[in-house]
Amino acid sequence: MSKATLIDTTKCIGCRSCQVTCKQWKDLPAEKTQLQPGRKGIQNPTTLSAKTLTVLTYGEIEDAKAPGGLRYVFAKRQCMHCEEPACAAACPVTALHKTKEGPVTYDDSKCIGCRYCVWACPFGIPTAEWDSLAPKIRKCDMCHDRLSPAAPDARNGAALTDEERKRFAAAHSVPACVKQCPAGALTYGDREELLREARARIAASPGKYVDHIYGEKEVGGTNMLYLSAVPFSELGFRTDLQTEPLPRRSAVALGAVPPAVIGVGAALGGVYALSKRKAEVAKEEEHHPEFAPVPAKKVWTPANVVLAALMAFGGLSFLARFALGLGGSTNLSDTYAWGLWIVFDLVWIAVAAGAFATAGLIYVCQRKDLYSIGRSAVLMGLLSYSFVTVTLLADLGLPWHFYQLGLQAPHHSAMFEVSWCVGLYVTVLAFEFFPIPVEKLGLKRALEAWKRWSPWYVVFAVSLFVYLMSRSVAYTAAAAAVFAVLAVAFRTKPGEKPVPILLAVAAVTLSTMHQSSLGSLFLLMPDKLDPAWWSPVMPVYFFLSSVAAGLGLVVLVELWIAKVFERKVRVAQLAALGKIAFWALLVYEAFRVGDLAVRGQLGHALSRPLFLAEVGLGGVVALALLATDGLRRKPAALGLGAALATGGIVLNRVSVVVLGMTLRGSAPQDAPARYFPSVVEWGVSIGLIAATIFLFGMAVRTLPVLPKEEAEQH
Amino acid sequence: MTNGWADLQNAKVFLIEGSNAAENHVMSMRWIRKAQQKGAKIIHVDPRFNRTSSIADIYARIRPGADIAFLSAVINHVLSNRLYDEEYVKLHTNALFVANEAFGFDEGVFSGYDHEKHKYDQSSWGVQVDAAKKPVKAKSLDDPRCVFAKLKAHFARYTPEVAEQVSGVPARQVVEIAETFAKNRPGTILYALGMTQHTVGIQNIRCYGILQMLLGNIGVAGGGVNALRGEPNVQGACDMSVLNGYMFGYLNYPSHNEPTLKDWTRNNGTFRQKMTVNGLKAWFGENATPENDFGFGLLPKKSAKKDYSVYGMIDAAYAGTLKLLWVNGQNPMVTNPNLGYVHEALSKLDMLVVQELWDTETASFWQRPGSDPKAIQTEVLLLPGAYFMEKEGTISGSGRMVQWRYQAVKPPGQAKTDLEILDAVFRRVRKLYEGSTDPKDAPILKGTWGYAPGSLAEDVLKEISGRVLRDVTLPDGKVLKAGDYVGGIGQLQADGSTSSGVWIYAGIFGGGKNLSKRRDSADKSGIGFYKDFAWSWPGNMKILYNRASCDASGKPWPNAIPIVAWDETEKKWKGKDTPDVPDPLKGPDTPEGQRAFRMNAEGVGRLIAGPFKSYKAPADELPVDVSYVPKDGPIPEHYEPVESPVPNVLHPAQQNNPALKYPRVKAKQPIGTAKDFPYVLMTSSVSEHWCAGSTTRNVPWLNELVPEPMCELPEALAAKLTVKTGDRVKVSSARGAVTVKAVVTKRMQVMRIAGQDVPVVWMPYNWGFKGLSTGPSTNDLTIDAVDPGASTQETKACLVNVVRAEETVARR
Repeated sequence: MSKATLIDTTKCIGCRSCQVTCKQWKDLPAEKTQLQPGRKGIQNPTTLSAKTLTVLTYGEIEDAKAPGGLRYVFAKRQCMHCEEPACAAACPVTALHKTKEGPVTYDDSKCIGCRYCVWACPFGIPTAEWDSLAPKIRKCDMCHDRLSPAAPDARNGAALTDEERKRFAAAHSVPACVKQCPAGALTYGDREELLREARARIAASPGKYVDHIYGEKEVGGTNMLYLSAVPFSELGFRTDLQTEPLPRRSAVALGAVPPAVIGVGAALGGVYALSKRKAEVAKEEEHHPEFAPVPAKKVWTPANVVLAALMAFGGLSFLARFALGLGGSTNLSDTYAWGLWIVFDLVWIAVAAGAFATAGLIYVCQRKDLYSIGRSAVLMGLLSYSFVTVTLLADLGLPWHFYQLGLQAPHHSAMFEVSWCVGLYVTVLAFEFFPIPVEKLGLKRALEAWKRWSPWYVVFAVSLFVYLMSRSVAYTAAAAAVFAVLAVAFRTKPGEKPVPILLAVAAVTLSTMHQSSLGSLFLLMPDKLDPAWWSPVMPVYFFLSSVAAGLGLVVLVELWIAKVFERKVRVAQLAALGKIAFWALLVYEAFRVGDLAVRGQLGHALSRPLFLAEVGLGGVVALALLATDGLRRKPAALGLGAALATGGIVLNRVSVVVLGMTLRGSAPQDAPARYFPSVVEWGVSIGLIAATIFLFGMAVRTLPVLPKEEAEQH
Repeated sequence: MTNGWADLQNAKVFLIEGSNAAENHVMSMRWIRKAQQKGAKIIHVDPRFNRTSSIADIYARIRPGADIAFLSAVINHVLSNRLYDEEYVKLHTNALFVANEAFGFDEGVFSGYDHEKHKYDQSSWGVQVDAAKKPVKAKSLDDPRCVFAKLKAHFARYTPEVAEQVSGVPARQVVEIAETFAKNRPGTILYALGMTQHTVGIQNIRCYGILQMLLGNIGVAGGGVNALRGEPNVQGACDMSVLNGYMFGYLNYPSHNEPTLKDWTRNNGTFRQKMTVNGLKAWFGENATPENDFGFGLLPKKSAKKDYSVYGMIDAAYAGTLKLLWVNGQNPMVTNPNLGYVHEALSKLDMLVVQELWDTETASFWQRPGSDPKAIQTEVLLLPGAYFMEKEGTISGSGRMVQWRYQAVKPPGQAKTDLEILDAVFRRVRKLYEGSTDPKDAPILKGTWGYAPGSLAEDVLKEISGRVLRDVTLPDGKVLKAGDYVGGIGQLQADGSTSSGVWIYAGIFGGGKNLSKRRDSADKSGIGFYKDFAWSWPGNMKILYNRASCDASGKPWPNAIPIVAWDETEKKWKGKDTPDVPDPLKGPDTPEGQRAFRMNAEGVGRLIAGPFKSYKAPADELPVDVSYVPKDGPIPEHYEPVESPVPNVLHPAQQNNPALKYPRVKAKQPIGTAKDFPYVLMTSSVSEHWCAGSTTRNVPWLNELVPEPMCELPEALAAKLTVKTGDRVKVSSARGAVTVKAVVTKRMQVMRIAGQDVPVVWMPYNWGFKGLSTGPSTNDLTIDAVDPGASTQETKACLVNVVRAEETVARR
């Protein structure tokens, strides 16, 4: 039995006692306001913010039937305290928490400041302290701290009796706004009883109320219930919300992660065993190119000077981010709680998928013909993922609380999944890259240790991941068992050349998980994301698209390497990669369009120019360019095809995060802010791109990343 | 309030006119909502559709200053359709009394008017008396000589159509309101400054009294005429001696033509003389003796020719005859109308003492924007006062409930409570006069001042409540011992053997207990009396005139909630409330048992208010009681505000209140005309700021809600002026101009009055140039014409012009 507040807007007299008493109880500062131009007039502040957890809206509605021909309507806005809140489902550290008593509460000490809650809430409730160097989230918690007040022993010098103490406690254990309301507009109590009361009020006064209790069914029901004399849309309430709780879809997707890890791991092991066997049967001649640093050219080329300057700009921006705080350095707001950096992360993770895709192809599928591009792909992946992490560090409001990710056990948070999965994948990438500098330095023992222990690290990392996702000993044991079997089965036998197969399996497994979970992030937002992009199968299409985008980028990087280091284009490998990319893209686009068709949204999607660009150029044209071997062997066609394929998927991510979103801003969701990234935001992102390119170039020069140019190559 | 806040729950219909209860008396909604839940209807009459209108069942838009025209039509409808309570009217009002033959009304003035002096000789307004000096009574209400017939004749002119023509309230709505209010009983009336801040303020309220008496709504639960008081303790302040015309407990303050107690008693009666004696005993103690008129001679006398109201003071300061002004808890440089003139007047003072919580616009009047501080020689002292939570004492609410408040925190810094400041000043002044034999210094030297520093407030309350000074044997044989606290008004003696500083508070310390500290919040009455929560004056009575809830035999009227009744077996008046009777042991068969309106000399409610004195015996020299008569007429009549856009259609020759004197200072009190100032401005407070805003504009949370003043305009006017919400407009009157932001709203309308368009605009008056939120003062614009009786200014209606402000003002 959860507690709720019934807000009968017909009883509200617009006095705003609730607003002031809220500030008083929560000790919140006043905002600097002015008389609002336009319709808002005396409404102040205009929206909720970290300083204003409840706000009253005013409306003047002409109605010939109303006394004076006018309805002067008031509606108090605050957190709706959903029965199944999207914010709490979003939170990776359980800082936001649905209590069994009803309130959705927030714990400062846990929050990492990711602001996924701000993004996820359909009502525009959580807000960030943008003017703070340590911006916490603020929202109404239904005065959870008042639920069990300590009654005083005496009043005005006279001792209180037990009866009086009880009465005091009963009178005060209600939210401050309810306590203060002079007009009886707010009633606090058991949710079911309040629903009965609300229905009784509607029945008792025919014609007075619209026959709708707002909050009874919206997004699965909320612990704030509203009655109104005018349609809720006229009060400015959202009437387009689904009745299914928002976290349902992502819960399904994330619930599938632990078994998926075990399944994917086992399947990859099977594929490897089969392909290895096939390779052995075919007795393919092992094609092992040698790797070597590219002969040193001048380091400070004009391009590198520009890159260094951009890196310096990035470094300064990064410092500015922490010196000025998130609000002071970015143009982010409660409307755009996520901006350039998250777009950047999503895009980068998608295009960095080349690392796991090539690792999977080379080792799991035994595509030895692609071996020569493996190292550069891994390096690209390592750099990309590392800088994604750096960007996240900048983007988090309270990055120093990151350790909370290790302490908390959220229930089906996509952000939690992604954080851990990406984190562990970075370590796997580091393990994958490890031999390259070691080889260069000639550290034999380190290499031996790596050979011996890296598979067991994988067993550990995957088991840890499964445990964190499932909190189930059975799942964890199963994952540990499956990966241990793989580690033992595929161990390097004496005399065999070491194959980092477990790392490759882990790379593919973890990438599958987080690439898809990035899609799950948005499953919470069917209310904001255009149906051309939102789909219950977003996790699948995110994964599929990442493969195509990753391979596309690998092709582009290879072409770029050939150009800048004046090396021969390895047409055969690239054409082969192009072919795989073609099939990956075809599968993805077919899935994407098919999904839209099945959901009946294809017509709608085709009316969106962004979608046409994404699927027309990035899908149809790219597929056409990559379709035949003849075209794939032409670097220009291949490059354009790869660029369009990757670009289409980049556009998809940008649309999902920003362009396809309808953002309404903080409640009452009628004053959304605009957004264009600040200099600091651009600085950090551009600086990190420059760093990636620069470091890649440096690594290629100093480490055996690229294959030796072979004279006999044609 | 005749009734109380909690009693509002018993009403079946509310007429809220001249009040925005939902915004300015927010807590009233708790009880109004209860009544609404039981089906009560709410009628809201206001020029501005506001938050109170939003909860009403009927909303009528009325032109500012046209209330009498509207209410007279409602009264007329009640009279001509026999909707009145005939039994009640006959029993409890002067309806049957035979009016003076000379009484008349012609061309907008009542009989006895002196056109030169703008004054009435009120003698013709009275009733005919017999040889026993008792009123002559007609047999039936149809007797054309009786008060009721005169009343009917007077109001007959106010048809719904006339009301519409004058007030803008549609004729059918006038009828609808009259029917709704008359047919749902009990009905209550709520009003506030919207009704009183007019040059016809008293007569506005007289309409309410007449309407409620006709409907039998006075003295009953759920009825009454209820003034919603604007300040936390304005009721308490008025109960004391703060109103300029009164001593303690609304006893008339003596003037120079009443040098002796007997002279005063001739004009006020022996009943009130007894109360005065008790008050003088409290003030002068041992120095008040029968031989010296109980110290009556020690009281400085008012000049009957002088105006002691705040407007008289400002005029005197401007004239240079007032040298020192001590302003305590008031901020006239924001709240007084015609602020430019107020500023000039203050600038002429030798000294200004301001006792305040904040550095207010009054304390720093010399810093007023546009003024030259160097040219002002006034010496200003700012005494830091204490906030209500920083001191203890009582606060009396609108429902006459006196509640003790405890000190929550100590005053900060050097701040002191008002009582401490007054105590210190008085002791010092008395020391300075020590040994003086000059008679004019005697009051200072002979007053009692026995308050202990640690219990100042409670010591004062004890004095207010009163003590037995010599043993007294009451008529019922009960003996009061010297030194006891008096138990109530009934125990007060005329011979100086008791004292009571404020007779209506007598008994608040009865039995030596501070009854204002009681906190039993259980509603034992079931109708919201809460008799054991604090204490209400007089005698913990919740509903004044409650004897009127009973018929002649002392039984509650059918359909009325029983609150008091005559108990035939116990031979006494008793009930849930303290019976409002002269003597609870005197039954309906005695004259005392039929005086439902015992504070009137007639003992009944007065539909027409004329002079009347009651005598114990016809030959007596001194009357027992004397009735108050409004200066400006025995019955309400519609007069236009001083600044009005339309002529008085009822009597064009008598546009304004005949008893009004304005301008008082011709050079400083210009009167604007509709030609230059075509729009009507009404002003009021907002929910979020209070009065001058001295305190609330220093609360950031409240400034956040309403950060600046504004002018609300109807859409049609805004379109004409090409103004949108948020644009700046310059509002000007004959007295000044201010620039504020516009709020364009459907809640304001251009009204149609007597065939012409009258746009009405609204501004809040809560701003000034001091505090955390500053802004122009609306009272730069308003007019300082005042009601002839109450001296309340006409801030609810004046004429202004509004134009788009072309100058660019930097936005915050």
